[in-house]
Amino acid sequence: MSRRWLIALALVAGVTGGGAALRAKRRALAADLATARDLHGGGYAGSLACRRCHPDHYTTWSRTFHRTMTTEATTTNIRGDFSGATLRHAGVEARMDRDADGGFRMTFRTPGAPPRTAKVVRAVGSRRYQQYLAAEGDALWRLPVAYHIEEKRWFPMTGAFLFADATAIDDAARPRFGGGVFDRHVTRWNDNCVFCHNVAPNPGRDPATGAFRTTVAELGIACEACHGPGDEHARANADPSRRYDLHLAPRADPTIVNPSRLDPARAADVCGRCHGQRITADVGPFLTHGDPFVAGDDLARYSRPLGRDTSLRGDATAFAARFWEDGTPRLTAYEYQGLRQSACAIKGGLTCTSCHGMHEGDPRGQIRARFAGASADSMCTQCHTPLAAPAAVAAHTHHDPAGAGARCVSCHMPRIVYGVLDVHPSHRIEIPKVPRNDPHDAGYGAGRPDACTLCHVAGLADREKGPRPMLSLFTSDPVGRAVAADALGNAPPFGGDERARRLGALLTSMTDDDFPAVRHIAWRSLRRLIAPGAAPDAGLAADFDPSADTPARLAAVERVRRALGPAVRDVDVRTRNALIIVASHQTLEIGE
Amino acid sequence: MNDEIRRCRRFGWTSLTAWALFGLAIEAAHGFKLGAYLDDNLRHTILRLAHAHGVILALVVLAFPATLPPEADGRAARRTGLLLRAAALLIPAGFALGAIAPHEADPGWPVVLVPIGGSLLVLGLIRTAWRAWRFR
Repeated sequence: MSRRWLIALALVAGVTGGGAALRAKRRALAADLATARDLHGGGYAGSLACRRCHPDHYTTWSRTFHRTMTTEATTTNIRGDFSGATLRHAGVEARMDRDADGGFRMTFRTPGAPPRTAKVVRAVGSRRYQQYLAAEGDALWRLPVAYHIEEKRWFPMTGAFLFADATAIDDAARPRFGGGVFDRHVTRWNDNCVFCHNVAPNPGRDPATGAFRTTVAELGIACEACHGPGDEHARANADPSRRYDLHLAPRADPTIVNPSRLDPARAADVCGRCHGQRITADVGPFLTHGDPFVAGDDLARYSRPLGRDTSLRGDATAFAARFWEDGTPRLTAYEYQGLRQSACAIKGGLTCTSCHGMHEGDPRGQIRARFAGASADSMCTQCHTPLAAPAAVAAHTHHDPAGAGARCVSCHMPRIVYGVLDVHPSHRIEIPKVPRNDPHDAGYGAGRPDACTLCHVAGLADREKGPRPMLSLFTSDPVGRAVAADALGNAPPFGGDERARRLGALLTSMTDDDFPAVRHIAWRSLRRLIAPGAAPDAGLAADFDPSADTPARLAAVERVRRALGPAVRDVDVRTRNALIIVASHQTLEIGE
Repeated sequence: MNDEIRRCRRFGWTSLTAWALFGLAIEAAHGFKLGAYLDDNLRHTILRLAHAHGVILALVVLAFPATLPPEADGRAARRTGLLLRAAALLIPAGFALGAIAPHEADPGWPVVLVPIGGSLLVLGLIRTAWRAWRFR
């Protein structure tokens, strides 16, 4: 046989063999893609492995505060001022500085006790404020001092939660840093924060000894928190033929979860794992083996969301204070509950990602880019299309179509939710109703602020018209007072001496309210009124410390009052005293 | 033999001119900060690879006849030259066409031309190296 024939034969054999191999490969691939996977127990690859194929998604996720939810204590990650700054609170002095090796540390000095130094090993949070963790035995503990990033100052954790001044705790199991009130919010990371601030959290608690061997797949909220364990996915797609098969005929890859392919309820469950406080019948397995939820699961398999009537050890009111009387959540991390109460979700298939994008938009809120700024109403008009036209907006809202009062979220998602030293929009999307203190009125129920009066704040004499912020600032419970304080700073001023009366009410709250978190929000609103847009660490009221003791607060407020002069109309003392008597001073556990 | 030299010379200079112009185009895209070129890291990379491979392989094709020993077999030289020219066409074209509609971290499907061209290039280089050792 000639050489030419041999070559031809080899070519024919090669083409035939190659074709057969290609067909076999495609059959195997089709079978692989048709085989559903149980991702529970799957390995985690880590975000760096994801970056190899998804660099754009990695970059857009890297911008988010999800990524930096929990970080190691490195120079890059630490946002606090550790240059020797000090904070004095409740008789304790905390000093934040670096040790000889450059490590971050806090030293607590209490009169009559030896100083206690804690080495910071991790940080939690990176947007509004940052908290710090120190190791103690087999556990990490949240330290009692945090750094407010926006305000560039340290504050005691007692000022971040809805607790009155001098709410101490008697818990010998916690390590002592400053002691007493100062340590009120020293919390163990391993069985608290770990669950919502990391990928695949497992406290690893030994049921016999109570010791912790805590593990996470990755610190912070990374790719696999929302897409499920990705080790098999990364290995399978190292094969370019598999990748190109998926590129050329896009379809679901069973080795990974794509939340955009989930039905709206399951997609919301992915977020609800952390943005919807929940309870389980038996927390033991969670503490021993970790949270079994994997993206794509029905969250109800493992837990149920907390509601106003959720019972804890027979106490049907255990969580009631976290909700307004009509069941609307009043704290952050209950957005999932709010969404599930919304007609848009129940009837219309709305889910978290209808408005939020995990890979786009401003990291503060992660609203999808196409809904940014002037396009915010498109979040709603993407379904409620007839309301997109300005004429329809005017007729629907009875407000100037270009003004804040005509924005969908202003009325349908009012700012009535407290969390992380701020007040946020409710995620129960609903038709606004004004309660009229009428037993036959089908309003929200007593005490709940409504969208109208959060702008039309009115005055102390308008009690018959419902819980208006000026009144609620003194008569409501801590959440109601925080919401009212926020409204007084956000609402546009309506004529007359309303601005002066608001300033007077806020200054009174800054001195008299016994909840530092409420005083903080009143202070912020005051700054909005007197110097809109000014930096938090500048301006007339910059030296006010919401966590300082009463004389110090009085002195700071007096300076502001003198500087503002006749611009302030003070609250009548007798009226104030009469109102404060009816206020509730109930503390609220925020969900730890 | 002379035919092969002519083929390589024509292909080599034409290819070199085309890929040099391509290089000029991507430099202009860089200079004028063209988003379509600069904003997509993958497209940026593979277009540069297309330019680099196009120019270098055109030079290889031009150099090939000059390295042939005088006593070389004309038919074998023609086949080797064909392999090198095919590689010089397919590899940069695969990169350049792969820049059209790339996926997040994978070039578009025409990039399949690159491994085909790469195989032909390796075969051509082996044949050239073998003949360089065989003839004095």
